Amino acid sequence: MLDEIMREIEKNEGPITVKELAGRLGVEESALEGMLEFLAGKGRLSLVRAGEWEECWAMPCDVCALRRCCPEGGKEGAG
Amino acid sequence: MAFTEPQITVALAGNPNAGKTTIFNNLTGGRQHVGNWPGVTVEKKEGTARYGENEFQVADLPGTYSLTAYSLEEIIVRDFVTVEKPDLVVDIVDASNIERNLYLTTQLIELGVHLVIALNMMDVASGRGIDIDVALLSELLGVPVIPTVGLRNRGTEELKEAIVSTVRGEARFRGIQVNYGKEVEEEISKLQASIEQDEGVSREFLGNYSSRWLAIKLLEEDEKVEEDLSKYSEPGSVLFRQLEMNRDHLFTIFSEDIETVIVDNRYGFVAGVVREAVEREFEEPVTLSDRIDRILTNRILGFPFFAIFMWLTFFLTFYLGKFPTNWIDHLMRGLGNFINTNITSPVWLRSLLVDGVVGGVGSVLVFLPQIFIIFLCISILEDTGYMARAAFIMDRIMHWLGLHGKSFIPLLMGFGCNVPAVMATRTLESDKDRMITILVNPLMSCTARLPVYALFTAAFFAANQGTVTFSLYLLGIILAVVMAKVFRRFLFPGESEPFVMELPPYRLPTLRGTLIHMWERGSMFLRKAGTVILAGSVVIWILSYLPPGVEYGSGQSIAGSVGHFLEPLVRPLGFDWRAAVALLFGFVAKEIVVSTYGTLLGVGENRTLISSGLHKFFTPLTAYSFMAFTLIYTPCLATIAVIKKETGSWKWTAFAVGYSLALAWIVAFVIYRVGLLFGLRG
Repeated sequence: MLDEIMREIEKNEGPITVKELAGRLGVEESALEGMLEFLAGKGRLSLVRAGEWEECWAMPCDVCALRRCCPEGGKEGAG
Repeated sequence: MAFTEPQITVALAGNPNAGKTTIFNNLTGGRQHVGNWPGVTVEKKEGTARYGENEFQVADLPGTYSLTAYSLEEIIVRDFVTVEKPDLVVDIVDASNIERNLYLTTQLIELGVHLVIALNMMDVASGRGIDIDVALLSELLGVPVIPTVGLRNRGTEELKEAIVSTVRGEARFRGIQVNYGKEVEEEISKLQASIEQDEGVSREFLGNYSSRWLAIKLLEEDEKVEEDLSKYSEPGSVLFRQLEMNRDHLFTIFSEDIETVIVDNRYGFVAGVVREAVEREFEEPVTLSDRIDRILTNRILGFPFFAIFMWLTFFLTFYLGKFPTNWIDHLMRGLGNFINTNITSPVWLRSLLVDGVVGGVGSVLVFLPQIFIIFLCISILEDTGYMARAAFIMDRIMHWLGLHGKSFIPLLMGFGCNVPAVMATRTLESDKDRMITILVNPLMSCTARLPVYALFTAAFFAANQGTVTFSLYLLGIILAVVMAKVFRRFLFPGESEPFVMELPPYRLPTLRGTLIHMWERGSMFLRKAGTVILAGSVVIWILSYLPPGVEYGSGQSIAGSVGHFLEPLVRPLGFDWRAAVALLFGFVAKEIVVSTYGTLLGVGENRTLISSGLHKFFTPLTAYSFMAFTLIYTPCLATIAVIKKETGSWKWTAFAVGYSLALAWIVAFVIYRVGLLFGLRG
């Protein structure tokens, strides 16, 4: 299964969305996310989740100079 | 007949958002209390449930996707199930995301616990056209499966009944084993035998864990299990020697780590179960976001659209920005006149205020509306979800460079400010990718350069301000691309991993949210004007005013002497000593390039006078060459500080400064000389 995912990604020769990949493999999107997270953890691919775009570019709050999601500096962001 | 034991314990496990808490509330009603898991701040909820005359204690475990020891939640769930030994675990499975949820199920089954599956959110699954053969699913997994709709309290009584009958041994429970294939199974068997023969380990662990589960975990290189076992069996013992042999053998066969092989088999098992027991009646609906993405992330159309959006951003910045810019210009001019009229002496103080403060800070402040408009445009692009698409489109180029697709995120941030952008490279796992991204980041044109572009394009390219500025941003991107390729080839060779993205849906940005984002970023510029730029302007005024008696801002002033000293370096680029001074002080912050001219020319912040002053020292060709130099040359002081912090190396920090200075000189030289060759006036 994991090899099949890697083959499909490499065959694509470019970036691919989770949705597109799930469609091509005929796998449920959420299940694919789990597998992709595992593969990303193993350093075989790079995965950017939707939340990383919506929240604060996945930066820890103490690093984030823009403080987009916590202007007062008190709330927790994605980090 | 009443249940014979006084009380049974039940643990609720499941993925996050599978509806666990709702099922917990349905089971326990109001009979619950909340505390923390021992030693940690993860919330623990317990309650009691009744079924007929049977009462059971229910513990709501933290939501988790698996039982590896990677997170605190996973360890809590695993320890509770194995050490506390509840009589039964209810695995709450989200039927609408069944394939993902069943991964945890396989691991719970592997633990050998008594299990009942609550197949929750059946209504949602049904609405999505997912048809689950519950009886077949139960058969394949070897455990009772009860359909539930937690939000409507459906299936709760059936679930209670299944809990009681499973604990009593009345319900069918045979459990299953995931088959990991001949080679892995053989090694598991050998390791199981060693575990059972190891006196210390078998005494301490086999009461709570099965030898098969321990063997699998050891093969998976589960650090916690290995650490626990090593307390009772020396690293050189038969068990650990056997483990080493097993791992070596499997690595020889599969050429990859054994955890991947095991996880792959688990997913394969789950996929097989889903293929048998689940049918999808209709395809995933095509959303509006999908339709838009077909155009905006299209391999061919994506780039032109990206270019159009960028060009539009600069066009709006200058077109809309010119009106408020004129108002601020009038205001500043009025302020200068007021000071000139009302402060009669001493002359130096009047000069300091008019030429230094108003001339320096004011010449930058007039571009404040344009800064806010560009941030407004960037906020809109982000809040609609387009920026994620921009990264997606650009990944093809990034990958061609051998750079990580994720690198484009910090590079995009660089359009705002290079300081947080360099910090954002922390999200990159590879040190090589990170270093390349840090080194090329200052080439992304931050908003501090915008006042420079605004001043020079207004003076020399008034009819095409947006287009010329757009070309400079593009130049920055092209140079970043080229330098990344060079660094990858010569300094940090290696391959980057493929990139998979989950794109957020498009959204209509809210006015409030967009304005807040714009203000947060724009106000940083405002603060900078009141601090760094003010201080820089005063220093430049002092250098332009001294030594006493010389003409203000002339070649005889200290600034002039410094400029003349540096002039040979910039003369081949078509610049004079004033440009050398401006660029020298722009090292602190790029906006100071503008305030330097405002101060040096001694005409206050009057843009018309600054503009006509610039015409004495620049032609359109040298102006463009100067803007290109400003774009590329050494990052500002704050960026240099953050590069030092992030790389932890003076060597690489010096390299970042050195290479960008050399590159700026070469590019400006080429622009100037090629322009001359084409007959442009130098």
